[in-house]
Amino acid sequence: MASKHVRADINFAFPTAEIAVMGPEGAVNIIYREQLAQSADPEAVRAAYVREYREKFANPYAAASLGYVDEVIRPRQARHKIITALRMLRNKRQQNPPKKHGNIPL
Amino acid sequence: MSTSSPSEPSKQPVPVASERPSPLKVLEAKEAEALVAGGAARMKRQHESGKLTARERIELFCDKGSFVELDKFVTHRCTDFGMAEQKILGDGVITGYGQVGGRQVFLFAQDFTVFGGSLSGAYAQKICKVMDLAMRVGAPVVGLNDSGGARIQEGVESLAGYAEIFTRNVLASGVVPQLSLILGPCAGGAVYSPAMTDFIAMVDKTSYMFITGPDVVKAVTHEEVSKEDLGGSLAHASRSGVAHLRCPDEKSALLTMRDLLSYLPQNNAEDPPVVTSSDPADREDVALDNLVPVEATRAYDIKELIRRIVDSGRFLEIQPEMAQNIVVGFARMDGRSIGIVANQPAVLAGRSRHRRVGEGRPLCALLRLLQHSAAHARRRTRIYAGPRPGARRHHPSRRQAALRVRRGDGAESDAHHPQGLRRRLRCHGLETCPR
Repeated sequence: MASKHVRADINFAFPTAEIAVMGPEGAVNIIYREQLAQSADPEAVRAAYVREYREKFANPYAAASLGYVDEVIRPRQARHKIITALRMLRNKRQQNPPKKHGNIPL
Repeated sequence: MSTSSPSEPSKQPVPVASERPSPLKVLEAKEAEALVAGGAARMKRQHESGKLTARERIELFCDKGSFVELDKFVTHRCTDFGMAEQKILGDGVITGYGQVGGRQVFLFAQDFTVFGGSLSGAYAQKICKVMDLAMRVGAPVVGLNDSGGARIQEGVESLAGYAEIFTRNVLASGVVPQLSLILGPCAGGAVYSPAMTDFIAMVDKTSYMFITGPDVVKAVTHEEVSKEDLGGSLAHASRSGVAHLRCPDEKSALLTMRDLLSYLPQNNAEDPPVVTSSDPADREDVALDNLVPVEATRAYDIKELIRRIVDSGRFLEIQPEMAQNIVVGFARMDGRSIGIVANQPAVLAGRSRHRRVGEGRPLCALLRLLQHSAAHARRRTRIYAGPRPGARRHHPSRRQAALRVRRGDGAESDAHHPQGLRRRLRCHGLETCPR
């Protein structure tokens, strides 16, 4: 919701944010289905994969490294950060292509 | 952990939560890592060569504490040539927004300590992001350039990144002011973009702008040319006209650009800023009565005349070393910013030459685009001001006042009567497009 790609102007994330297709447990069950099925100790293997996934994806830094998140902020500064961004955007002007109506269900 | 039983102290529990460091600690560690940039050794080298680091430059340029950094954790995506193991947070350019004199600006500062400031695809995207934001909110873009050019390891992705920036330079031109400071040896792609911006400042002895350095020039054309002659600050300020301002050091370059911004509107829909002037509008200066010699052949310095007329004697001259028979620049009258285009009788009797006209023209165009007031000081003693329907039709909000100090002959006088000039040009088949 409201990502850069649907034209949000500024995107912040808390350090606790997890920005990925799905949570670590669900994702590991899909990506490593075969490895888990063949393993003698599936729980230990699962824990290792979950840890790997979490480090790689379940944090705000993957999105931040691509510039999808502009800034990872300390939660205590949230109010100040948002107000600063809104101030910066005060004179924003953006035009859409002219059209007769919006995206209606057909 | 509280869940582990006291009877089995050696057993390691494996709850996932305990393995995760505190998210705030992770953030702090990453922020510290981003500040390291290219490392202390490279920063020391930067200082030893008379240069500041990218962050120090931003500190000096923006109002204290106003800079907001974006994309601090961006890294490149290149995997060739072992680049996957060489990632530095920020990827060599610091981008964001801040304030100058309480007014918003967007800026990017290239960091020579990270991969020589070379431009990757991700790096270009960071610059494009602030350029897009600047255009969306109508505020100037300032580039602090210190880059060796394209990042060779990224090949065509780097070149595509340049093209994305150039496109935005063109789109932003005439919409928001674009200012460039050249603060290092900038070559290749790294100078094409600044060359397209409205104002360029260079620093003596540390900044260079060239398509390619002296070594390649020698290899290709067998010509020996020094770095200084090929793309040094003096060459660009006095001969090529690429640089508008030449400064002795980085600090003065950064402060001069701050000053320049104070004369410019934020965008093409806004008026230039107005300040309260402490210089009374009805101030008389008796020295002006005798400054211009009666004998038409005797020279005098038009800059002295300008300084005596404008608010508090403050005149920011643009391209002072280029085509010195014309003087252009910014000043204030009654607290309002004006652009000045004046003949300089002290040099070549102030006569027009190709280069001179070349200097006046871009400034006039910029003033028109930015709805700026303009004052023309010419050499004949006649003053007119106020609306002139023919000349003002296409830019109704630009106010013009012309001061004729002494002589104005031929095309010189026509410039004061745009309709007459147009008629004359049409007779000679010279007017190609309606103005």
